[in-house]
Amino acid sequence: MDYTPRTIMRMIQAGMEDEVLTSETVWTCAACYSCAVRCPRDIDITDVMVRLRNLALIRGYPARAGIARRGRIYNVDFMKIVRRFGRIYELELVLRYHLKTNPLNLIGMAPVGLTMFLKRKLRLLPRPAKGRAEIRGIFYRLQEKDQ
Amino acid sequence: MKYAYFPGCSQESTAEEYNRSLLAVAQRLDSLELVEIPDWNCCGATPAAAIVSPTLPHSLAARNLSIAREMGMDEIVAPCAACYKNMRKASHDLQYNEELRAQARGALGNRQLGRVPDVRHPLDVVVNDVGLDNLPVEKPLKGLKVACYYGCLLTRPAGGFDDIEYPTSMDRLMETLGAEAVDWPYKTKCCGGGIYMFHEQVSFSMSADVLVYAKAAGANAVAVGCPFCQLLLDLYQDKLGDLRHTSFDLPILFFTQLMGIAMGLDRSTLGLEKLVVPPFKLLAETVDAPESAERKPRKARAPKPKKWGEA
Repeated sequence: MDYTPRTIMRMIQAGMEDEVLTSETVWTCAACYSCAVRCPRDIDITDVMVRLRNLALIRGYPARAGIARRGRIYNVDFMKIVRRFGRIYELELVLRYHLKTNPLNLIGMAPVGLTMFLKRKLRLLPRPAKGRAEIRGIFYRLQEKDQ
Repeated sequence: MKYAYFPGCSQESTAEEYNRSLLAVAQRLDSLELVEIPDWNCCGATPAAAIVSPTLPHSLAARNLSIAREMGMDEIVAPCAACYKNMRKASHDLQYNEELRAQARGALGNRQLGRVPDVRHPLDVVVNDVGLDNLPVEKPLKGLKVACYYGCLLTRPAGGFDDIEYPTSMDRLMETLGAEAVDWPYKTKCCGGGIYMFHEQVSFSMSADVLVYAKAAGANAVAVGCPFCQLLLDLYQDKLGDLRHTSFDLPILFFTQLMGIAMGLDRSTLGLEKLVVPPFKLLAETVDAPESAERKPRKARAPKPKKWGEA
């Protein structure tokens, strides 16, 4: 995390768009709402961070190395899968993510993957929603409006 | 009462035992009937707002809400804490924010969006609708010292069914089931589940702290109501132990599994074998142990300090 959330809020007020939208902080947030419910100024910090991720993408800021890049890859692929199936398909998400970041990690992941497989916690095939076309329509109408 | 049931993606994969045990418990309770929403879709997870548009979570949730409404349901039960938070937020915003409602309506195309159902968590429904007094406890969880771990999204953001900083619903439930709910400070700390894929180090350190505090409070099991908390604390428990140079050896159970055990349900319906840290030894030594003479002297000790909820 390169700036604290408080610094990010001040940077927004100061109009430091480039620095804010390329920061690691916005991708480090775990979205647990701890700070949001305690903020003395009633700022919904979690939603601000999520909105900043969105702005970074819409305004075409490059994802630098590290957490900003990895976070973006994960989030973008997550939504690609939801767009395709209407639901998430964990196996593809994990494979896509590791292949794009560091394929060698898949070797380290193998024992965990095996445990999950043996415990039948890993679904091998996607289970798509039947209303996929309708769901894709939702994506289509919203993306067109935003960009 | 009848509720529309929204399982969510993880109930069909990593947290299948949560789904199974919840349905088994609901089947036993006359006052809790769950009817699955046909052809439900993704709840509108956090990446939806980040990647596509701030109105996408509301629009995705709106499709589920609208189908539930078509079923004639006023309330939805969502067991995954993340789904619960996303859909609860969407339901609230769609009821009170005209602009968002109009946008979601537009995104939905031909589908109608009438009155929006409320979204509830099964813990809320069990404690506040079914009622703790109405739970049939046939096999009290004696000897279990449970750390009730709510995680971040069961109680946050504000406006949910319990206190945001110090919730007690699950603790009261566990005490009703005959277990001891230990008092500990990490009830609502985040496990880091939302970022563990791309920020493993941070999220593992957050999860390890949860287990350290549960152990320090004297717990011999942890109860959870979120698939991500369960996954991190259970599947990665060895790694978390290495990180803190210890071995936690703490079974992480969904609160519905503990309910099922206490209600005397057929244990094969509760998915206990799917837990990575097996709970069987603990259960044999506590819940299933015959009343032994060894245990009696312990009761003669000085009375414990009073805890919340005790008269």
